[in-house]
Amino acid sequence: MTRKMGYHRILISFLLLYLLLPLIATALYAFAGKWDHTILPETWTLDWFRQMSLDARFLESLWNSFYLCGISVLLSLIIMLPTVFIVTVYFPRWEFLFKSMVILPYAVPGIVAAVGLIRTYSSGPIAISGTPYILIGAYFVAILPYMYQGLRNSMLTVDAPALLDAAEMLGVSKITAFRTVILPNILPGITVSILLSFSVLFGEFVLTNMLVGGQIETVQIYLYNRLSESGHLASTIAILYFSFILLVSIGLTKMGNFMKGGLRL
Amino acid sequence: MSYLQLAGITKRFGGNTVLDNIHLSAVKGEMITLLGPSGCGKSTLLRCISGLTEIEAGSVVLEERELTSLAPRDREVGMVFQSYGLFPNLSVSENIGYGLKMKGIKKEQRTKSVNELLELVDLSEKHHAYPHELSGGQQQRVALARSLAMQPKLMLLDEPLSALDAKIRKNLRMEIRQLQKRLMMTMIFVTHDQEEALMISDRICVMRNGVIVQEGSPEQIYSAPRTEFVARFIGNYNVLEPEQAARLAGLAKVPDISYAIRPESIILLPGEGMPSTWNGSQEFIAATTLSGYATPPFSGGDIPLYWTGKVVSMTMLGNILRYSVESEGVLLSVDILAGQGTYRPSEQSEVTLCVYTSQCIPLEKDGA
Repeated sequence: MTRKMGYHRILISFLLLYLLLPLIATALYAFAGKWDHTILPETWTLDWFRQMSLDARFLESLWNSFYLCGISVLLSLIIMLPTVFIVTVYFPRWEFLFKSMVILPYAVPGIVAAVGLIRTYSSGPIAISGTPYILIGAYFVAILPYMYQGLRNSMLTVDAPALLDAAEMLGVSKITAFRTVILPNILPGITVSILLSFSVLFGEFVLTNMLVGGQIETVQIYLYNRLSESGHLASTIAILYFSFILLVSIGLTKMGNFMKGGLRL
Repeated sequence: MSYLQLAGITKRFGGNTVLDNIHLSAVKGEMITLLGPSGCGKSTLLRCISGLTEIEAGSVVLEERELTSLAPRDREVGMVFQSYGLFPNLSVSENIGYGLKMKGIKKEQRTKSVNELLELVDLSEKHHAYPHELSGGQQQRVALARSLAMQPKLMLLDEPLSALDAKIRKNLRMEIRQLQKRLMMTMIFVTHDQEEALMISDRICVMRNGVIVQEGSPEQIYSAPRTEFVARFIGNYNVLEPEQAARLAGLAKVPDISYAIRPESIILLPGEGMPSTWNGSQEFIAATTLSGYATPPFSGGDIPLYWTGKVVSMTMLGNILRYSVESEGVLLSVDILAGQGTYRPSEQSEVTLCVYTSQCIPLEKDGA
């Protein structure tokens, strides 16, 4: 029994080491000063972080990423929340349409989608190629699966149609019922959808680079551009980015546990 | 005019007619049960009364107020669902007080009402609990209290006990009945459980394929089922097809209707032979009394019919013994009260069955 446990532990440790080694190396590199012929760096420094925080380009790319992702997620929420609610409650037979629609982002490879979008929107009545608008549009499609599934599942979990019926029989209008009963109960689900979508978009590279790479620099594009200039800086960005995603993931897990604990707010 | 009046309610889903010209009325304080198998339209009828489902034709009038075109929230009708429909983010008290709060009732008054209702459904000590912390029976009581809080003029219960286990179901249905009598609440109760319907109703409406096939007091429904469907649905009636009836009663001519015989109205006698009182004119009597249900029973009154059979099996159901007896190729259920002095044949033994002609209930054709 103990021997067996030991064997398992060793295997898992190796696996973890294998997965974490690149990350550890990147982290070390981000904090390393002089590191030439030793296993570990000889001197440590926070200089790369200082340089980073002073770099206007980085800050701008960070801001770009935030507002582009933020607007896209918000737009998706504003459109998808009522849509999913109406379809789930009143037109469950149309769900097949949505189910097939949300697979599209998986079915069409990013590069194909990008080429198609550029062709369509570079001229004609809606010439928005290279502007933030085309990117927001593409992002909207990219996060459809996460938004749709997340919202739909949380509505089905709380049995939104039944709650709506019950509330209506207690003398409130459909809109009040949605606001006072449905919304509070699906809020954890909505939060998870938002966080998930946001972190997916934050790490998106192919679509962003193809569509607006020359005009707008997001964190991912900035990282890509600086990779050839300085390994240290690139490592620093990577570590910052990873920390951010880690925080979001922790948030997601917390939300998940919170929902299991009885959907109370 | 009655308290509640449904006239010509018709509902179609696609090409399917789910409710076909339903007429139903209720007096104040009446407990009406809609009884029928799943898919007969009973729940749909309830949803049509509540306004959650729109109707194609017909009208709903409650206390001389036309409800047909009103939204559910304006109908002053309460509803309790099979799935409880409690708001998971609100405590028991908040759930019960939800409707009052939305109506703008002041907090003090609301708390008072909620406390009274908690008392009524015997859940005072659970007022802080959340729905997921309660058992199914407790959740349904909260749902009941939540509906009562709005002081509805009519209460609709859509299979409220179907998700509960047997023991809780039995207790809660008696509680609902007592509550209904005490509050003089007019209720429409939907169920597929005939025992439940018989126990709690003032009046039962048996539904089938979107139509009310028979309406009456539990007593009437049980003792005088009008059609084969009702007889089969309401209990363990022995339904005799025309040719089976002819065979058993030894009729020369096959009647054109079926008969129902309650298992407890068949008497089992020992042995194969006819009792000594038998005068040999069975065929004549049977032919006279069973030939047409439109004519009153044989003028000589209640005539016993006898035939022989063999016990196939016996099941103990607590206070009654249920025999399965085969006779002339027909399998009959016979219930005998378990007690001292009754004749209790063992399996495989030959017996004589006796039924009085008054207990052979002629059945109308179902049409379908």
